[in-house]
Amino acid sequence: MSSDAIVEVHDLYKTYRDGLIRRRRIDALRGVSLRIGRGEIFGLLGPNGAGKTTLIKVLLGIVRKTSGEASLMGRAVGDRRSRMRVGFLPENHRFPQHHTGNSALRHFGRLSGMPFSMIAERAPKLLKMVGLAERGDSPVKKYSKGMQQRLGLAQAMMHDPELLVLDEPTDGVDPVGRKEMRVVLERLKGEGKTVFINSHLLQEVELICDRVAILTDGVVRREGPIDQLTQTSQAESTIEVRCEEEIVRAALDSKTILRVEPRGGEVLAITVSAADQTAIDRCIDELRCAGVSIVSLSSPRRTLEDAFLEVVRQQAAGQGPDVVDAEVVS
Amino acid sequence: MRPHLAIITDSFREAIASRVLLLLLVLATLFLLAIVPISLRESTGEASAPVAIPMLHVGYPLFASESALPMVTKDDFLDAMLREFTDIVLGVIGIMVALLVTASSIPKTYEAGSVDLLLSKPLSRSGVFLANFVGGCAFILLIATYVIVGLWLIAGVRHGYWNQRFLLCIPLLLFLFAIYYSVSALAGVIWKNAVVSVFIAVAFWCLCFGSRAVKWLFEHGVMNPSRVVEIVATDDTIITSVPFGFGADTFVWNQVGNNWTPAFVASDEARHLRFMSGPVKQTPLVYDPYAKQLLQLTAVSVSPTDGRISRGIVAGRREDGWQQTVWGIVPDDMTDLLVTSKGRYLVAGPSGLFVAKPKTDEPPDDQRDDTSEEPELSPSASSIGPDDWPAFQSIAIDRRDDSLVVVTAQQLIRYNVNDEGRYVRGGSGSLKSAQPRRIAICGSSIAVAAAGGKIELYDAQSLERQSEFAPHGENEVTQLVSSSDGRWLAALYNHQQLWLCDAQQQQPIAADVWRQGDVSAISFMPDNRLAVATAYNHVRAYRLDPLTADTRFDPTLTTPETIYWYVVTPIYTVLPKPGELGDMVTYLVTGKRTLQSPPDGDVRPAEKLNIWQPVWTNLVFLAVVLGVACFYVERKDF
Repeated sequence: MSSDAIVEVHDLYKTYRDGLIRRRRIDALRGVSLRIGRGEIFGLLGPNGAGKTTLIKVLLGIVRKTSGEASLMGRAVGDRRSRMRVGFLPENHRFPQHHTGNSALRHFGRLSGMPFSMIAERAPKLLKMVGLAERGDSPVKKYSKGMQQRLGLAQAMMHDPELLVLDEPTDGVDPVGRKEMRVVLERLKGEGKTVFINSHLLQEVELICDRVAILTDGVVRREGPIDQLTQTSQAESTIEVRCEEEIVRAALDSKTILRVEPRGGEVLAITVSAADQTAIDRCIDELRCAGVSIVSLSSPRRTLEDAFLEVVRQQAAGQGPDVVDAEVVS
Repeated sequence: MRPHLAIITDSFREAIASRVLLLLLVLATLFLLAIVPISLRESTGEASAPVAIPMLHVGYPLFASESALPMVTKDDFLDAMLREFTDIVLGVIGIMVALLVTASSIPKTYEAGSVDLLLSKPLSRSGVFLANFVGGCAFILLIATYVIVGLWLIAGVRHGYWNQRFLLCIPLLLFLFAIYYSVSALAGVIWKNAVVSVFIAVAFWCLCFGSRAVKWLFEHGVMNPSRVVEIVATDDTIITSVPFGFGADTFVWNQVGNNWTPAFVASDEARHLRFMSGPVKQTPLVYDPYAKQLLQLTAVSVSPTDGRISRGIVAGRREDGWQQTVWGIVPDDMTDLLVTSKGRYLVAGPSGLFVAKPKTDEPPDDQRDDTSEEPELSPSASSIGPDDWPAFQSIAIDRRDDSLVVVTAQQLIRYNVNDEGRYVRGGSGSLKSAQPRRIAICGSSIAVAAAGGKIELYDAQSLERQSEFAPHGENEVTQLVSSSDGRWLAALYNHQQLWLCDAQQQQPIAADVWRQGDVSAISFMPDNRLAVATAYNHVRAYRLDPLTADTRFDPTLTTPETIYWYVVTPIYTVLPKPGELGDMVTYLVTGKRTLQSPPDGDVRPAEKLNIWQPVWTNLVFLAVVLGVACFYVERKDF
């Protein structure tokens, strides 16, 4: 495994066994492989039950892998030394209810092995960063869900980790809070930190992440940069021109023209089939030779949500559930 | 270490925040304040009373009341109160409250959402669990320290009773709590539910209490009545006696049946007589090797006119199936029976020394022909003692010359036989220790067992002290016997430990007998082997040079005994014994290893405090439960 990878997972399997007599086998991860480089903001997407939280828990040693390889900052998962450099915000986390915001940060700072002086220095700064400076002395049990998420983010950052693992970080956070969280994450990225986000909120992920992986039924279906994932599979471009429709049809091959729509005035929107930039250039050349005036050129893209739903639909159509029933596991 | 300390201190923070700590401290303070006004006043009783009886007046001004407790000193009262309070109130009620208070701590830690936060930190899972466990214990340590130190200060400042040993109850209570809490913690980790956690801990308490109760029932109902408390070796067999209400029941070893067969059984009338005369001090069985009969000094008849109970010698011969018959009547206050080398029976008591005569004038050998006669109502004994016969504590006979040695409160006195067959003072020596209890002649030495567990050896002729031993602290000697060749001396202590000594070398030897510590009777056999009774009714004969088991008298087990040995005892052994830490409390507060010292002359062992076994078994249990819990959390996918 390469040394510059913060997270590296290869052919990772995790099988849960449930029940006492008729033990059911639940395959949560089925040969997951992915790699997160230093300084990346990486998003893990997937529907409920896809195995996202299991993957995070395996990486943090909270759950043991069944087989495969996984490493965190060059050390095998479960190694306590690697966890010293990781901050984790769990999904639906629950702070001990007797704490205030300040005391919770101090407590989790001590659990991370931080000296008192560093705790005293960082805690107020982090509370301010997550917007809880005024509520530091309030009991945690009086915090709203969004405030608890912010405090959770602060505790994850308390010991200045190299890697932040955030499981549904914007869950319960209002739009203003989400915006603030995005700012924090971008700032962390600027500091060279690596962030691993697991979220349902695709728009948030699309805005924040450099790369994403889409996980369904314990298998990584797609992985790559956002641009790559949101590209349409069949390339189309729209050229707005100022001319008669007959001139356009005479200039271009009929197979190239997909649609011609009037846009008002003498402007027409011509949707052409162009697999790559060369095909688009050729269309432009042919139109210009026919004396057609080009108004604009655009290539429409899919959203991350479109790409995600497409993967989910494909998986639903092609595969059954992963819960293998009635198989007794010894 | 810092992260784990953070978990421990967080337990305190949680307790303080929940106000449980504050509530418990307030309750403890109220309790301590409530007992401060109690007054204890010692007096010697009413001035007008014919006998001054020491009294303790316990008063509580709040209710303007005062109770008088006779024969109780202030220290005894405080001893008992502190012991009972620690054992019952703190050891049961306090522990239950502590379990309720702390039960939710570990389940909360392992709830989903909490445990993820913890386990993502650079901590070992076992470390997190153990730190949580220690946190709960530390919380209880604080409360226990507050209460125990408070009680100690009140007893000391208010009543002048400073018993530093009582402070050792603090770690003991913590240990007791840790045992139950370990079970609660294991359940908390597995089920993550405080209610289940408490329920399992209480069920565990009931199991421990139940196993102890069943064992107690078996011991007191089945086993103890069969415990051999006295051994008499005849020429060719072993005779034992067991405690059974009034007097002793006696058994002889049946080689064919491999069991103890009743022998020397008193007639129904005699048993009824003993019952009517009240609990009779158990006088030892004596074997007459010359007439080959077993003897015992006991109540033998009751006067039809005034109801006076006569004391006499009963005898039984092997040829007669050890049937018990009345041999002769002796003065009522006789306490000791001795057989001389000439086959005479001497009886000694406060009123003097007598030679007993059979109830007819015929010699003892013909006694068996007269068993059908009614016993005489008047003593048939002649005084042969000196005029200055002392109030003695114990008496022994040296069969080499039939001289007697008696030990009084302060002296050791030898009496020799003169030409007329009467005993005259032959010499005396001062005792080093006060309160001598038992004496044995061992060759050229005389062994004296004194109060406080000391055994002193004196020269038999000069009566000068030769050496002194205190092998078992202040535990009392209940039986002291010597071999007929004068070489070996054996002592049985009331905590059932056997002690052996080479009297010639005046050197103790290792007493590594089977089930040492559970010895209930000892006796030397005619061939100088030592018979040792252990495990209730098992007797083994040992040769002493070197110590080797020679003959076993292991009876076939009855069904209740089988259940006791193979069901009750193993279950009880495997289970921890938190309830028996009360014995440790008694030991810590009083410094005693037995519940009570046996009355002078009583051969029965005192009820032993089971001090260290519960500590070890509980420690093992605690380690196992914590180990299982650590293994579970290490393997568990959270």
